[in-house]
Amino acid sequence: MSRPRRELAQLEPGRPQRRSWVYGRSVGDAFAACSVVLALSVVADLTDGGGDALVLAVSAAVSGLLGALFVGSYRGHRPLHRRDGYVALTLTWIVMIAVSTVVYLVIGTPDGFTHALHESVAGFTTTNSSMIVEPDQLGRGLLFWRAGTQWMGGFGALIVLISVIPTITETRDFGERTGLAQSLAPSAGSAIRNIGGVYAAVTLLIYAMYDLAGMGWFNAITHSMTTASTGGFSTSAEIDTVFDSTALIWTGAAAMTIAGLSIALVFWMIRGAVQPVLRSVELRVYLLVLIAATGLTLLINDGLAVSDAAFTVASVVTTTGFGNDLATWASAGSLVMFMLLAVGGAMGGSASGGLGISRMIALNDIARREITLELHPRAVVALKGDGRAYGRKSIDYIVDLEILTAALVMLGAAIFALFDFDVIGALSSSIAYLSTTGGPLIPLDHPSALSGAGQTSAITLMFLGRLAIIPVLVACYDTAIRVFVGYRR
Amino acid sequence: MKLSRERDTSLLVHERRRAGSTLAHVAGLALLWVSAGVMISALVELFTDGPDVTPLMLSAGLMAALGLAMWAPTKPGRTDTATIFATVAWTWIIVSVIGALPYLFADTFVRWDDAFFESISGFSCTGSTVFGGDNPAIHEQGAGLLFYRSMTQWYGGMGMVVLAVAVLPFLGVGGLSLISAEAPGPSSDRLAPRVSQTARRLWLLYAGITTLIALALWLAPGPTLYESINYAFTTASTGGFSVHDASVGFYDSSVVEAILVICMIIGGANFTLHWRAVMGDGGVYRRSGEFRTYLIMLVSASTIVVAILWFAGDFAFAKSVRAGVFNVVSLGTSTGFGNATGGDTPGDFVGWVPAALIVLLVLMVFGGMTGSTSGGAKVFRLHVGVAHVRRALRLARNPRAVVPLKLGDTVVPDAVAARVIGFMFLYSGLALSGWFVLALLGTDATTALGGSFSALGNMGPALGEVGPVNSFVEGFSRPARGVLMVLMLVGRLELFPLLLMFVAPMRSLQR
Repeated sequence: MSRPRRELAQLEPGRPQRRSWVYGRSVGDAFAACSVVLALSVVADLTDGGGDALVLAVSAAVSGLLGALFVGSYRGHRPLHRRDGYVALTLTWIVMIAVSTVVYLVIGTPDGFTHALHESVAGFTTTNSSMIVEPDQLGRGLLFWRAGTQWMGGFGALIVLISVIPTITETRDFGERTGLAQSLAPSAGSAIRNIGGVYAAVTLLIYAMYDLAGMGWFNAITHSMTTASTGGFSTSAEIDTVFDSTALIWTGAAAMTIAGLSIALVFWMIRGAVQPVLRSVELRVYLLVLIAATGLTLLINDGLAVSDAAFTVASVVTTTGFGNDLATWASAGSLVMFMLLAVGGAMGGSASGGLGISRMIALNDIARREITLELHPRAVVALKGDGRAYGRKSIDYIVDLEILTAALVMLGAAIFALFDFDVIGALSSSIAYLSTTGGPLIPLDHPSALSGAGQTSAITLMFLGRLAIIPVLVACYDTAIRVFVGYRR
Repeated sequence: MKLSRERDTSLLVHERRRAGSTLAHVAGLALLWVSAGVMISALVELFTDGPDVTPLMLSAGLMAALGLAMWAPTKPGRTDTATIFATVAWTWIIVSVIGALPYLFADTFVRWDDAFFESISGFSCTGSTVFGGDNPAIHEQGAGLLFYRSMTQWYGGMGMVVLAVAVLPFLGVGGLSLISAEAPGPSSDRLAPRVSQTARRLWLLYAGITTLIALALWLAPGPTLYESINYAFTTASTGGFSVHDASVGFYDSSVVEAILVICMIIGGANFTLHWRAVMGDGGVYRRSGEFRTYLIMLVSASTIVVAILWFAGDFAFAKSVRAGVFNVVSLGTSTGFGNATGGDTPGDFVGWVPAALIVLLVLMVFGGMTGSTSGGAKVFRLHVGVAHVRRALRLARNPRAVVPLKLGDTVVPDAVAARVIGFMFLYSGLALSGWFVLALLGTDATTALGGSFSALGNMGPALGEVGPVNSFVEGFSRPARGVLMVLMLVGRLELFPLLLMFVAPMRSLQR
C-alpha cells in the first residue's frame, strides 16, 4: 500500500533516523497478510484430512517470518514521493503473487510455473480464470487459500480505490461523490480500519445468506469470500453444483449485487444513514442497469429461467464471473451486451473491476457536454457527479483511464487473436481479463487451454486492470528510468 | 458583385419576395449539381447503349425540377449554428434519398430499400454495396448507372454543401461554418479570404487530383479510360465503389494496386496541405505532425499485418506484402477497395489470422486525416488521445510539473483537447451502440462489429460474413441495413449535424 506522507511525516523530528528500504513496510505487510491467510488455510485443511497442511503451515511460517523481518527492520522513511507509492503498491501485489505461486508450485497444483502464476494472479486480481480443471479434487486447505487470495485481492482493490486513486485525481473522492468517502477514509490508517470493517461485515452477511439458503458451511465460507471480493473462484468446476437450487441462485445474484455496491454507501447503510443512500444517482443507475439487462437477456434468449438471467447479469456487471462460457448459450446480441456490461462494471467504490458506473456516468456527461458546446461554443458547462462539480484532474483521470482501457482491450485482443480466438472471442477475453471478470466471457472450455502468448496477455491484463492501470504504468516507467537512466532520489 | 446586385432594383424586389431559408436554398443547389451528374451518366449510358437511359434521364429531370423548386424561390437566411447543422444534415438526407431515384426507376434492386442503401453508401463515401447476393451483380449493370454510382461518391467526397457554397456569394461567416460542419475533421482552414473562393479552390483541387488519378490509372496496363475515371472518382473521395464485382481484384495487377495505394494515401490526407503544396510549399507535409502520424500509422499497421500474414505461413512473402499493404491502406484511408481475386485468396481479409483483423479494426476507427475526404474519427483525434495519456503518465510521476499537451511542435489548448475527447466518447458510444443494436437484430457478433465500425467510419467492407468480396445483403437483415444507413450518414457528417438537425426546425416552430 502506498504509505501516505502524513503518517511518515509524524516521525519525530530531531531524532537521527536510520534509513531503511523504502518499500520495506509494504513488502512486509504483504508477507504478513499472506501468512495470516495461509495459517487459516491450515485450519481449513485440518478439517478435511490435512493433506496439504504441512506445506501450508511451513509457507505460513516462512511468509510470517519474512513479514516480521521486513516490518521489523523498517525504520520509516522521509516523506515518500508519490511515485514511490505507486512502486510500493505494485510491489505489494507482486510479493503476494510470488508467495502464492510458490505455494502452488510446492503443492504441485496447478502444474507448471505458468499455470501456478496465472492461478495466483487470477486470485489476487479477483478474476475467475482458474487453471485448476477439477477443483473438486483439491483439499480444503488449498480451496480456502484460493478463496483467500481473492478476498485479499478484493480488499487490496478497495485500498487502491481509496488511497491511491485520489493521489492521481488530487481529490479525496472516488466514485461515490456524496461526501461519503471523506467520513469513510479521513486518514490512511482509519481508512484501512474502516474499509476492512465494512468489507468483513459484507463478507459475513453474504456468508449468512448462503448458509441460510442451504449452501454447506465450507462452500458458504469460500464462496462468500469470492463473492464479496467479486472474484468468482468456486470449489467446483460446475457452478450449478454449488448454486444448486433456485433459492441459492437468487441468493447468489443478491449477494453479488451487494458486493457491487460502493463501499462508502455500505458504510453509511451500516451507520443507518438513509438520505445519502436514497440520493445516490449512481445507485439508481446501478440497479436500473441490473434490472434492464436481466429483462433484455430474458427477452432475447428463449427458455432462460429468470433466476439464471439475474445471476448471469449480476455475475458480469459486478465482474465476479461466476459461471461458464456465455458464448455457448447467449445470442449475439446478449453476448455483445455482456461484453459492454463488463467494461462498465458495478459501482465506482466497490471491489468490482471495469470502469465503474460513476465513471460511465461522467463519460456520458462529457459526451453530452460536447453536444451542448457544438450548439453553444462559448457555453460554460460544468460536469457534475452527484451534485458536485468534478475537478479538472478527476475528469482527466477518467478520460485517461477510458483511453487506456480501450487501448489495452485492443492490444490484448490482438495478442489473443494470434493463436487462441477469433475476433469476438479475443475481444471478449481481453475485456474479461482487463475487467477482472473472467469465466463467462472467455470462450474456452477451460482457461488453462490458453497458449503461451495468451497466458502472457491474460496475466498482464489482469494485473493492470486490478491496479487501475495508471499506477502500474507509472511504477514501471519510474523503475525503468531509475534502472536505465538513473537519478538521485 | 454584391454592389452591382444591390443597384439593380428589379433584382432587389425579387430578392425581397424570396423566402429566407438557408436549408432549402443550399439543398436545392446541391440537387441541381447532382442532377447535372445524373445527366452526364445518362449520356454515358446513351453512348454505350446501356439499358437505363430513360430512368437516368427521368431522374435527372426530376432532380433538376425539385432542385429548382427549392432553390429559385428561396434565399439564404439565418446562419446560426443550429441552422447550419440542420442545413447540412437535411441537404445530405434529401440528396441521398433523391439520389436513389435512378436505382428505383431502373429497377436495379430486388427491394426498394436497397436503392436507398446504395445511394447513402455512395454519397457518404462508405462503399458498402448491396449489389450481389440475391440482387443482380455489378457486371450486369449499364455503364451509365455505374458511372452515376461512382459519381455519388465523388460528390460526397468533397461534399455537396461545399459545392453549393462555392456558388453562394452572400453567406459570409455562415458559409465557413457550413463548410466546416460538412468537412471531415474538427477544423477547416480558409484557402482564400472569401468563403466561396475557398470552396471553389477546394473543388478545383479535388477535380485536379481526380484527373491525375484517372490519368495514372489509364496509363497503367489494365484499366480502360472509362474504368480509370470511375476508379478516380471513388479513390479521390476515398469511397471505394468499383465497377467490378471483384473490386480491384478484377485486374489482379500489382501496378494498378500500387498506383491506387498512393492515390488512396493522397485522398486520405488533408486537402489544405495539398493546396499549399500545389502553391509551391512542398515542405508542408514534413511540418505537419498529423501527416507524420498518419504515415507512421499506415506504415506500422502494414508492417504488423504483413508480419502476421507471413509468419502465419498461409501466404508467401510477396503475396503477404501485396494483400497486407493494400488492405491496410484501403481501410486506413477509409476507402474500402478490395484486392481479393475471390474468396479465400490473400486479399480476402476475412480469412486472415484474427490478430490482423484486430489491427484492421483499429484502422477502421481512426481513418484518415482531418480535412481529407476520408471517414473515421481521424488521426488528429488519435494523436490528441495519445498525447493526453502521455501527459497523464508524466504528471503522475511529477505531480507539480507543468506539461502542455503537445502534438509535434504545436501546443493544443486544454479546451480543444477536451472537445476532441468529448467527440471520441460520443463516437465510440455510437459505434458500440451500433454494434449492440446490429447484434440484437440478429447479425452475427463479428459481422455486427465490423458493420458498425465500418458504417460509422465510412469504410466499406465489414468483417465476418461480409468481407471485401461479399454483398451487404448476405450478412445483414433489412432492419440491420436500415441501422447501417443511419450510421453511414452520422459518420460522414461527424455526428453533430445529424444529432442536432432537429434543433433549428424546432426553434422556428416555437418562434
